[in-house]
Amino acid sequence: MKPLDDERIARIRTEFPMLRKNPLMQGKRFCYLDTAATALKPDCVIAAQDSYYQTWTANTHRGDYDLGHEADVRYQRARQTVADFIGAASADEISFTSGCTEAINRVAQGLFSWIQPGDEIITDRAEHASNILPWFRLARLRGAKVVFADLDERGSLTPEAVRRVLTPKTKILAFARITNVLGSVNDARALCALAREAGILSLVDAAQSVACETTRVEEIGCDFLCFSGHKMYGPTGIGVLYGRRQALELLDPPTVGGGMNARFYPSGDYTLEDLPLRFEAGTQNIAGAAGLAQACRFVEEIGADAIGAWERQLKQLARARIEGAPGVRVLNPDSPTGILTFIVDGVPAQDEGTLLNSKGICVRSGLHCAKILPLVPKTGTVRASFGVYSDRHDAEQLAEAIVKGGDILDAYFA
Amino acid sequence: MPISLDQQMMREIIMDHYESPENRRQPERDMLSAHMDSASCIDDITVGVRLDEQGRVADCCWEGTCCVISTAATSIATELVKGKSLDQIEALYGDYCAMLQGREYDPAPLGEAVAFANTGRQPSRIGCATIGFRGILSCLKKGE
Repeated sequence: MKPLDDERIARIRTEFPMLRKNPLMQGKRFCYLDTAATALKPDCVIAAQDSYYQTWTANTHRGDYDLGHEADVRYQRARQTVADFIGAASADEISFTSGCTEAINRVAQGLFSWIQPGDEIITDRAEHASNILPWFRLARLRGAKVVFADLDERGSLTPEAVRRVLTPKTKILAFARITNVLGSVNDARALCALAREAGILSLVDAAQSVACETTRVEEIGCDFLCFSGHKMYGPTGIGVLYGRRQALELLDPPTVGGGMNARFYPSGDYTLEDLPLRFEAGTQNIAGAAGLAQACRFVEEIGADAIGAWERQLKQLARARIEGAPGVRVLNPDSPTGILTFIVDGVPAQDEGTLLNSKGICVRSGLHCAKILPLVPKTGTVRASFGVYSDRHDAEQLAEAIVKGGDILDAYFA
Repeated sequence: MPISLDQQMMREIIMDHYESPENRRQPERDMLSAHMDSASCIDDITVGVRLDEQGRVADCCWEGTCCVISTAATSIATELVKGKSLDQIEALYGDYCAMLQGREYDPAPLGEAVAFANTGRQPSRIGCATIGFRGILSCLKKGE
């Protein structure tokens, strides 16, 4: 895959209407560094989503007319595109969700009957709320227990740390491939191999990783893998639950209704559709699926690994500029991702974020949905995250704003 | 309190209240209290109010972690409400919100809170400028 360079990025930037239409924010050059929260969308994704509303609107599964058939074909094709994007053996292992959060919840709720009182679920403190709270709830409802494995000094989860808390009662290991606050990378293959060896289920939260590295679920060896469309240049409101067939068969569909049942009877009995339709009750986000499929093609054409390498380059460019500046502390200097997390001594993260906003820069500040992560001060952190459209000017604008600092009240008075 | 403060004075009011906040102490158990936090930011404070026999605020305090704007605004709010009834505080809060949102307002009852007149330039921070007031009102509603 060809590495990205300034010239290619300049061309890519022209494909993003948000960048074309918003040259300024707060009167300064618009500098979007919040891709880890949500990515901007290219024209091709918007057009693919829009095409459903413009030219092939119909419900799936139900139409005997041409458009209904076309919607079926396109929806199924989107599923196949996603399956290919992550190297799944079959499109039947892909079900669409509203996002990564719903995908993880679908697994946790789906395992309600399977998990038993006293069972244990292993996760870690660097996880997003969406990969902790579904397990907390499952544990509470079923009398099971969530166990946190220790993180290493870089905020990563290691197989050794998991081994230390693994017991005969452990049933599930859930972790992110890339964590959202520090951008720490977890060795998903080794962790899933350990889970397999221990005879437990593994779930990988890939929300932060699918757009910046090639994902091959068969090689990772996970039972479940979840991600959102909107963090990978796709639409909001669409996400993916991948599951190995045998793992998906363990799940009770958490939502029932039209489209997921084969038959139902006055007696109250009903039979389920095959995988994956049994997980998709009601009319689905058909337009979103079309947009997500296009986002997969967009990332593939550029190359997820090339995107990741470019983001790391920009992160390191900004890091090198801000490290050593008075009062500035980078919390994840070595994490090999496009996430740069820092604090400025004596300045609550929210106020630093607003100061950067006044300089045209969009970053995230606060606790980033990871409220039990050690290493993060109560006053929060500031997270800048690069994307495929980020350029050197973005990295330099951020670095200059941080180094120059200034009175945080300038955001209101200058 | 002069109604027309210059920008430098407004900055100083905010920084003074951030660096030396008023009424910052743990609410006592017998106070009406409200825990105010947010899914999206660091703000995590508890506000306490004690009423006198006429239902006016006799004492008001707060404790917790929050940003510069929340700290200064909560400090000022807890001072402003002392001696006032729920109706008076609601009216005052109405003027305060009007100011934050760039609508017409009466600055007279707002005292030092007029230092936040520019908050609307950073609209995402209006929630920070109001967290203390919202906490106080939540306490007062519990006391009704």
